Amino acid sequence: MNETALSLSIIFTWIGLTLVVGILAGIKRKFSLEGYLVSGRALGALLLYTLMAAEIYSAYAFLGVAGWAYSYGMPIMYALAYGSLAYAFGYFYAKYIWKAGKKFGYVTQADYFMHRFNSKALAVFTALIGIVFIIPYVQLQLQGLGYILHVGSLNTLSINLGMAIALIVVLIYVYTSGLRGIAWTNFLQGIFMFIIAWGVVFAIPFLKFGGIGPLFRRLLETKPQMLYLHPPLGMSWYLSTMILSGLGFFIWPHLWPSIFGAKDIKPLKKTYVVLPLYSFFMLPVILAGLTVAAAGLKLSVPDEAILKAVELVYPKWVLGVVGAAGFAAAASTASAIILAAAGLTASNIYRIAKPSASDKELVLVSRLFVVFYALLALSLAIVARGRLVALLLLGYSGITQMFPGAVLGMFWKRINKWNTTAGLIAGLVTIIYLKFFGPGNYLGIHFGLWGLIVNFIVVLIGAAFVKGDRNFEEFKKGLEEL
Amino acid sequence: MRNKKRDFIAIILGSIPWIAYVIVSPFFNKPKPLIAGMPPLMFWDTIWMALTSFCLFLAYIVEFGGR
Repeated sequence: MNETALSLSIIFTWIGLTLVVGILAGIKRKFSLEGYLVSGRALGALLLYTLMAAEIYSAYAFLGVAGWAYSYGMPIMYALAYGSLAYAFGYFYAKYIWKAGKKFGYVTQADYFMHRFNSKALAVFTALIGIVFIIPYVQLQLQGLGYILHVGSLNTLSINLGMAIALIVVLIYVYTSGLRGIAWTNFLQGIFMFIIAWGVVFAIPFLKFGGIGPLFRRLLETKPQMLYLHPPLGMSWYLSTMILSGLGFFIWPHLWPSIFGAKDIKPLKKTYVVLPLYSFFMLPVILAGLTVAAAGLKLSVPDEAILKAVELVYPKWVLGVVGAAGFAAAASTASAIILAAAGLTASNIYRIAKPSASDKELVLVSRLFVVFYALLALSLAIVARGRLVALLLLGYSGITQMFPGAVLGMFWKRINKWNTTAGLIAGLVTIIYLKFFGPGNYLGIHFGLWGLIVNFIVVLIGAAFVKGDRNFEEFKKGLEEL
Repeated sequence: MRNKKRDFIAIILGSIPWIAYVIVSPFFNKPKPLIAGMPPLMFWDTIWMALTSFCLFLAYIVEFGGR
């Protein structure tokens, strides 16, 4: 067997194995939309933990982080920081999402917006924001999957062909299993990724330079500018991206169904106590990216850095093993987020447009939109390929605009549909202006955070002029009864 | 009343990581000296992943008494 075939067969054997597990887990599922999307609110701590871990650690963490470290060095520290910030915030916040979901039977995030603000229009609007800004997140997974198959096949498969194959695998994941199936496949994948990161990737700087110290001493001599923050990705970029992402993490619509899926508050909180430790997994990935930079390699596709690092020190078949772990990470996240976008479409756009729709019809709509969104992301990945970190931050820029409604709305009676909507529009206009027509990261601060600042100002001014929102009293009473 | 106090302590514990990253970490922005082989910023951000987990663990103990 030649090296290409060996490497590819390792990747596809693993994919096949995870598919079988997903299908077995999915067989017993009943066909209600709630079962399909939130697993009947019965996930325990262990499943919940791996579901979230594998969902969080995607092509972004595996490839994008290494690529950013390879290109720029220290700015990638924002990625280590924001995970911790997000979990420290979510430890307190997720409880309210879960409680509201349990009390009022939410299946999606937009259900919350519809009920809390008593506004179908706001539900549709937030569902659309969620869908639009999940697309770059899906796109980055597909790009990552394409890179894995490209390098994993030793350049036999083109990136575009790799992405097309990956799309089919992702669709099989979604169609055969739903959330519970994805949870079970993630269980395997989470463990596998962890082993690969520490067993294989962590050794790379040691094999190449003899340790972490020698790696950085080499960089100090050859590329000292990579070891501290300076413009354009300076201190203001580092802080603004970590705040944007730290606040925005729990606003991702695809995280809400897995929070609703929890059995109780305690397993949820336990999950967030442990998850910052899982972020250590990014450390070997960053070191691998820096190793490629220190070795002086020039990459035409910087986000392939981690794969090139593996190629640098290991025999070729190891690419298959690392590729399989990366493929698993990206495919599981892709399937979970596409499922979430399709769920939003079915239950918060289609159902509002056609209230008489049956459950079966909604599942069908959700499944059709899975294909549509996957193809949309694939087209974008082909015509407008971007850096993986930049794509994720673009997603955050839009998603975080829902922060005032999603977070302040849970606690503050003065938040109503009018000031929430006004803030959303102001924030979105700001980011679109800065990104496409203006200076981008003005003063080095990421455009997404500028959007959030404008958004907050508008919401607070709006809140000053209103009395309490009547819906809030009912909402709060409902939560207290639980 | 007792519950309120517990919630307050838990929230203080949970905001420590935010202070460590957003306010303190900028002071570590320099290429040298290498600490444990790493640049200062990387070292600080790395150990705080473990310390964040520890802070949240303490918050959990405060809230639920370790059960």
